[in-house]
Amino acid sequence: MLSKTMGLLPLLGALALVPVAQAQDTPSKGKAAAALATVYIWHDGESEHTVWLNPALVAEFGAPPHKESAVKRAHPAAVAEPGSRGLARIWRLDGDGAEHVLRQARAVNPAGKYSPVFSDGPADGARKRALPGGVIVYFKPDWTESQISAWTDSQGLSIARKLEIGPNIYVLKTAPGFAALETANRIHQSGIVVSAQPNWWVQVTTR
Amino acid sequence: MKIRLGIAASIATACFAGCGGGPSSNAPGSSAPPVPTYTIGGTIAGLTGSGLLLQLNGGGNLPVNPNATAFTFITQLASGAAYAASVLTQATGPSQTCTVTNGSGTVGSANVAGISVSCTTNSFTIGGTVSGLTGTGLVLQNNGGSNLPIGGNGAFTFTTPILSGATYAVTVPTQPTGQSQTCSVTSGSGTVGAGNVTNVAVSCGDPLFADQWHLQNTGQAGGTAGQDVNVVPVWNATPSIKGAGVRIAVVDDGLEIAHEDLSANVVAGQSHNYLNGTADPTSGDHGTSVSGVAAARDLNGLGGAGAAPRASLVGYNLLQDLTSVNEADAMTRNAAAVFASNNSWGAPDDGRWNGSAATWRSAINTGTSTGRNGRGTIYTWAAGNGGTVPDNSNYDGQANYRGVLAICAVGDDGVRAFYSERGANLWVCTPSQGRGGHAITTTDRTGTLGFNAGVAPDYANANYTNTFNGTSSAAPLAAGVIALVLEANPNLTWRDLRIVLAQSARKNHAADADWVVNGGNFNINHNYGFGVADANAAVALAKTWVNVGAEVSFATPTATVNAAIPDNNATGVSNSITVAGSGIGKIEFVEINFNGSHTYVGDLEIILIAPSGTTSRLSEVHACTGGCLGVPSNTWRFGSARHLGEGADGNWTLTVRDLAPLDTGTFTSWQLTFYGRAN
Repeated sequence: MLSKTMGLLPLLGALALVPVAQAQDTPSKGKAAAALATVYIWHDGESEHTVWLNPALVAEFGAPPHKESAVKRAHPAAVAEPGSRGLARIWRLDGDGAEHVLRQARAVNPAGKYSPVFSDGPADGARKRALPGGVIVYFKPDWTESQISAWTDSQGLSIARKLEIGPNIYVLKTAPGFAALETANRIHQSGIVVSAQPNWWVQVTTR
Repeated sequence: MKIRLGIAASIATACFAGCGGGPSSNAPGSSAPPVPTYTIGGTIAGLTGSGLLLQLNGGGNLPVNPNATAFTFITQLASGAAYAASVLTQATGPSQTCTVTNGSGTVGSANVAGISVSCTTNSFTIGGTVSGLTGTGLVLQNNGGSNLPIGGNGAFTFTTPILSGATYAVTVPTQPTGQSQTCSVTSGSGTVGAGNVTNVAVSCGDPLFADQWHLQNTGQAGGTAGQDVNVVPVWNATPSIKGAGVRIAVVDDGLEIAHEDLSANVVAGQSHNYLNGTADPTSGDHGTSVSGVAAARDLNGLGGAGAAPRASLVGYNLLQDLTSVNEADAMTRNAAAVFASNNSWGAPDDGRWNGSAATWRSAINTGTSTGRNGRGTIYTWAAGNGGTVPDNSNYDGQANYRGVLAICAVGDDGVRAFYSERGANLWVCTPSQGRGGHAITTTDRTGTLGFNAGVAPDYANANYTNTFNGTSSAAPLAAGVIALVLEANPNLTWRDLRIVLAQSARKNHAADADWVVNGGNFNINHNYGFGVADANAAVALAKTWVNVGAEVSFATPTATVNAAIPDNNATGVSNSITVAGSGIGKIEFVEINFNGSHTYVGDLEIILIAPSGTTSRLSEVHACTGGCLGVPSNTWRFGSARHLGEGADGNWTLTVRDLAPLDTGTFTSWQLTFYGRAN
């Protein structure tokens, strides 16, 4: 099983995101083997969630289908995952070279938006998610707009928009990829806000 | 054929130039004196068509070219011989009737040149059939005139005939009144040929409605008559209820707002495209078919009809860029005006416990509390297509949320569709599984952009398809029913609407062993929720409905268990929570927060037992696509609709069993939150 990892979660601060050490997850009885090993934590409101990094996948956002993909140029063997639609394309690599391919894609097109791909379980087939950029912050309801603005400025962040789904819920701008996860965790763990979570792209299906 | 005609025409032309003019002899070298012969011919008037074939004495066929003014048969006759010219084949293109005068006699001592052939062009009537007309005042025109008032369905014919070769164009200058119909014409224009035109089709109804068994099941597709959502009595009531004034937001991969059978219901400028920020969400294909199930326009001579054919539509193509931010936006966009939000999508139906995001839940809560000017937007959610995995709708953190209605699917016989997921969270089902190629008839992207490439057994008209199905189709059918109910009683809150749907649902598949009557006197079933939505019953109930009292919620403390779940053991671990003083006399929904861990959650059966004895099977032993290893969170929120109308106070028991060998886990704690009202 995946044991509670809260105690293992590194204090992130402004440092680079550190993956949580994989707890004992010993698949048995041959039902399926866990393919993914590196896990990260994020916070969905008050609830702590785990995601598994998939090193064989990368996400590319905003590249229209008719334009050449920077990922594809960086890694010609990349194959679009079935179900890729709209602004998000999930590329499957011919190995576990996601980190390298992401670097190369950024070199090919620095203006592009790329992200590692995570799964909601240790199996490769589990639901996928990625980070197009942005953090959703639930500020304390009694904060004023000027307080929120001042705090955001003090953190070197800027507001993208307000979400009208409750009091003081804002979207802050971040770079795509790990930067969004790192920023969300840092804000959440600061204790200054109610909660903070990355703006995830999430795999869904029509029914 | 073309070559032979060409030769014949050349011969005829040659004869005109050199075959006449006097007697000729028989074969040269004959010792007998030649017997003079004479040509037989005459004049032609009015010939414009082709293919005219004249005949002399039953033979000597002579083709005559269009616009010829004279003719001479190739065969010459001796003096004293009888001649008789006639028309063997009339001219066509245009169709003409040619008659011969002075066509017979005896050859004298000169060429015969007095035969007259006169041709006139034929006229034909223009007509066809009117269908689906219920209003009055329909007028048809041909070529901008010849007004023809139409009194009813059936055959019609314009009184003014049209010459063969001329064009005709049937139009509708005056639409019928009274039933707000729009009649359309198909096969309405062309060139008159050699017969009356009888195939002009004026349709004032919905030509594909007869295939829409989910709206009116007469057994036409091999199903069971009556296994539908019973909308027709609502449409035909006085006053008619078709969803007017009710807006449905289709949150999907797109909505073709210009589709011929949807555009009349689309609210201009109110849709949203997440790809480019415009108000035109035309993209994808799925959402256009979803939209047609809910609210395709009726009585326009096109396609079929939606369940609420006069409801308004907006489309939000969220699936083109599904991020947490956009998801929250789509659930609340212009919520004040959105009566129903249909969502025929969700997490992969893979058997895993796929949760929902806090932002999404906040958005749903916002929609139910502030949408529709405070009465609450109604969210219909496809329960899931993982019925064969078997997935369970309760493993989907969106479909099992209290703010949405999880919509399951049945077939045209009222029995669970094989793909429809079970779940304690299910509210109502609607039909979507057909047989023999007769699934749901609905709109499809115009041309070949959608599911239908125009290949049988699908429709030749690729703007429509008869292949749509899944809980994707069931959810918008429920949304359409909801639109009818909300037109009948727009004051229903989202909570009242849910109860009305549950109370009016039809108990389908009565032989299914899972049916029970809960402590609130509701029929309930893990396969069907409260049953199949019945629009007529729901509308009737809504008309006299008195809204229920204010919502009350009660959250129990977390009960700590910390017990290992015995592996492969039918006893499992049970724990009880005693609820007292909740203030909830009638439950509307129960949330169950289960905290535990297991190396393979597919081994777990989790059952909640209410004080009434009603059970909610929250998880069942199952497989997952790729394995049920690991979950994102050790706290899982299940939902149950099955305790509707029951009281909250009393002992609630949660039993967790591991019913498969090897993998193990722990039941850590659990907690209940009730939503309902005092009484």
